[in-house]
Amino acid sequence: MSGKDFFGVSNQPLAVQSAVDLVADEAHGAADLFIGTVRNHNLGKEVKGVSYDVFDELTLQVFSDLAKEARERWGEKLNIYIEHYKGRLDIKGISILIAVSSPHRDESFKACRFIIEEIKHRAPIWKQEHYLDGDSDWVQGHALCSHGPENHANETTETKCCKHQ
Amino acid sequence: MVSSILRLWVAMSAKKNLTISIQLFGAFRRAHPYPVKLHLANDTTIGDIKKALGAALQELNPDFKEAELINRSVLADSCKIYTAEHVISESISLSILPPVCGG
Repeated sequence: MSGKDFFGVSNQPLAVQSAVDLVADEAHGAADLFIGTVRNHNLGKEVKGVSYDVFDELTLQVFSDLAKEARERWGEKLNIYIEHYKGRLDIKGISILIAVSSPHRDESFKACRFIIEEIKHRAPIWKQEHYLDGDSDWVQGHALCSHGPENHANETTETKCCKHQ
Repeated sequence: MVSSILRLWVAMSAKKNLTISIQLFGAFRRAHPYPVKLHLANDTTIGDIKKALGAALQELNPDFKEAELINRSVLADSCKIYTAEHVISESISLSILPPVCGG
């Protein structure tokens, strides 16, 4: 029997407890939680906030695909929570929550890392940084691909995405 | 290259029976705030739609000169991303997705 899922895109503040509660499981000895937050600098510029733009339908499809791929690799029992914020956030605001629980810790650590790395390369989400000097700009990202999934879990955050372009 | 240009010319000059509505995301929003409608010939490829969108955006906003952004972007519907060779034979709503950076 497959574990529990929650996939969401929200313009309301993301609640850590909701993620923890969803993946809680009497048969699981580990839960791994990733919280993405807005930092106050990027590439030498002082940032005061970030606006997130999301193509909701396709993003939710990607979240569902990633949960399926994670279970294929680390077991059907994984409970998985993935939620991304849509709209503007100030510094320290929570942009993404990922929680994964499993019977033993290794699977939840690996699945959680896999999911966040793949989201950065595959989910149709964009961010516009707002700077202290009043300027703002859309952040350069990873080009999407029309073919099947690639595994980016072992790549650094600076790796270019689409090797086939 | 020549065949690509020829195909685009044929697509844009032939009888225009297709209406393609394209929603803009991310950096494309600074080019134009609303969806863009293109009128194109039947059996137009996704690659040709991207080129037509680039031309339309330049017409709507002469300051938008980001051909490279179009090249690095893909067209999709709510279920999947299309290859450049995919042929569209009926009116449809698509979205142009620039490089992503979620998380």
